[in-house]
Amino acid sequence: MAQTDYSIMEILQMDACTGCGLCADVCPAVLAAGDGRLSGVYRLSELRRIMRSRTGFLAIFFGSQTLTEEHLKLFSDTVFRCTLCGRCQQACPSGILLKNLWLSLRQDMVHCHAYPKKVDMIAENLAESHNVFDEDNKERAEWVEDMPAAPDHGYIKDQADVVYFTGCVSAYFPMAQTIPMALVEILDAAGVNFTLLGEDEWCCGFPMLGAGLRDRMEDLIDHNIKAVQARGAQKVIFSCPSCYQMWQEHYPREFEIYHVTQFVNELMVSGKLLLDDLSLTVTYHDPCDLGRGSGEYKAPRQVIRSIPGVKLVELAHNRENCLCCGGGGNLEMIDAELSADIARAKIDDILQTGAHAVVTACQQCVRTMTTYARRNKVSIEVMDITQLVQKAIAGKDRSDSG
Amino acid sequence: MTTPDWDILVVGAGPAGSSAALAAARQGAHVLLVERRQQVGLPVQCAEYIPAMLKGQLGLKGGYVVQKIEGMRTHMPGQAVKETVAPGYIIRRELFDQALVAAARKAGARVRCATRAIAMRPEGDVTLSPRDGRAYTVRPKVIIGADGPRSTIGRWAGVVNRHLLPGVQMTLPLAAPLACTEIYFDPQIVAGYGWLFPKGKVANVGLGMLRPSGGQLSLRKVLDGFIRRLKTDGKICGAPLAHTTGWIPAEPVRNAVHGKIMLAGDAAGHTHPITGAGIFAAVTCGKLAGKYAAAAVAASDMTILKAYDREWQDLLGETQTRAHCRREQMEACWNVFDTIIKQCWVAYREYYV
Repeated sequence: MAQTDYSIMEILQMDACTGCGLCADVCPAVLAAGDGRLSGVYRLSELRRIMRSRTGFLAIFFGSQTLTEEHLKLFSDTVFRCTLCGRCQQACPSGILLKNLWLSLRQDMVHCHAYPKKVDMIAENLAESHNVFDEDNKERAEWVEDMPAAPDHGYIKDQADVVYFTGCVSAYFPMAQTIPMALVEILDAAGVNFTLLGEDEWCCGFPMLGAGLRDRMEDLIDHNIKAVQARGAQKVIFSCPSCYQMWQEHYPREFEIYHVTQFVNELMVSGKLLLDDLSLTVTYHDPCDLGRGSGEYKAPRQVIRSIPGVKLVELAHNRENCLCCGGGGNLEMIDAELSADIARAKIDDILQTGAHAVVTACQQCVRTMTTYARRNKVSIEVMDITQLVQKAIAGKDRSDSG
Repeated sequence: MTTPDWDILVVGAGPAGSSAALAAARQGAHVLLVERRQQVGLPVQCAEYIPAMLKGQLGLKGGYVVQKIEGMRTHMPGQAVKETVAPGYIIRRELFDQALVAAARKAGARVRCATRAIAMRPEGDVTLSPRDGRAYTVRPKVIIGADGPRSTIGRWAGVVNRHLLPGVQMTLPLAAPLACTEIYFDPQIVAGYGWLFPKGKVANVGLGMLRPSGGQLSLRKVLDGFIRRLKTDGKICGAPLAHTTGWIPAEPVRNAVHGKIMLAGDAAGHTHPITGAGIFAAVTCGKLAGKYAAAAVAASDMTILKAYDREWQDLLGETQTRAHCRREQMEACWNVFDTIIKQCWVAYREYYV
């Protein structure tokens, strides 16, 4: 039990909620589950009650035991059934920074021992194997071996200008590994001197943050900073928006950091990357951590629009109003059914555009949408923006593009 | 880090802050006006009525006016509609706020948006934090806090608003144009009222009331019910076009000068505790705060600031004290709604007794 899990700013903001309920109107979890207890407004009112029971006159009268363990457990269930998509924060007319508050609240729940068992698993995996799936970290760059024309150095060099930080999902999930494969091909085509960190890449720490284990990210951060320094690189690029946002917000500002959409956009603008015509109509899904989280709406659209022959049609809900795919906030591990229900709303939105494919810029969104589409036999092609660009690389032999 | 010597730091570029910056800059003071929003005036958190007199006083270009208002119609359950003369305008608040800031800038005030005042050191230095840049320190001689109902500057001075009412509002299409603001009392809108302010082809429909506690209808449900009623009455139609919320101070009169800190507008509780009206008071008090701040700086005599408290309380004190007293009565006796309500609304003679 700790008030110290919250910043002074957050404690002040708890009282700024007018109870208008606009956050509930846009919450993907509330809409999918039809349960108002998953909304921000409910969560905040409960949180205020908990805070009052810990300090102030209520605590003096009733002792700090006013809340039973059972009650806390029930509340905690609603706290973790959230994708951390941040749409509530974007809708809040009082300007409460809800997303950070939810992270602090998760940490508080962990400190109260009222949290899902999966959280322990995340913590153990990261402590032992430095990746979220408890795989052997030595195998982080094994996907390179699956590439038909991988160079001898296997993209791991002692020194390079740029480090490509792959992220756990892209490194280990077969369905997502096509993303780093596409990106290295793009970087090669543009003549970028880059390296992977291989086994020296540890989880960025984002799953810890989402699991309410903010106080245990430090080792990961320190290690990753040193690993990049050792390569003498000035720039770090990310294909995972969560890793990117994590570095933006929680890492010391040592390097220039780019999401691939920003980096590839610069390559295209400066003429280093030449692309052929692709005739395709696509729509674009803003990943929560890249769009609402990092405010990057422009670069991915510029990349898509600059590929000759590609037509972009916007989703009904786009940019800051984009619907979450259901894959964020560790929700998939905690309530897979709710995650899939949220994905349904997303896919419906996509189908209404009539596009051939939905392009996004996040391996987790690709995974969630692909899985939903496959299980429910929806015919829509899902691809990452790196895969779209890869298809268009000029003068490339199309036969090996997969 | 450089510490530019501003005479006056104004925090918050709403009507109070801009009026203060304008008044102080006109007297030659070196004024810095900071605003935490990226764009002045947005998002709008207001029902957007101003009394006609205020427009005349300000003499700004009228581009912000949407329509004229002739009066106010009060709807009370089981009673005839009461019409009161209340000439005024419905405005586009964001344009109004922007026009005021432009005037302050023209008078010489420096304006910085997307900048928060985040801390004050004991010696009076203030740390400002721009959204896209490093925090820096300024050393103003006077600080004017016009940063809204949940004021940060007020917190530094040790005075916070203790009686805030939540307000929620939606903008909906109007069935037919209206020339009056409409006020609705209803037992469900606890110790508050609902409003329908016509704004050209649309209307601001909202309510302010006590924050519901356990077992009571949520603010949102009450608003949904109110909107349904207005639709049944044929006043509005269609789906909401926009929505907003905010806190409305309903404070007793209290001093607004604390050392070198002055408060104005919502931050000082300069709102009418019954009607919630605040723009006129904000502009009036903002101007006064700016005037005395500039005078104190010019004379290097901080005791001059105290005159601000005297003057604004002289102007608004009686009105605000009565309204606050009525509000306490209203909150205590809401269960006997019928018997007290006429004493608690400005349109009735009983209110002034």
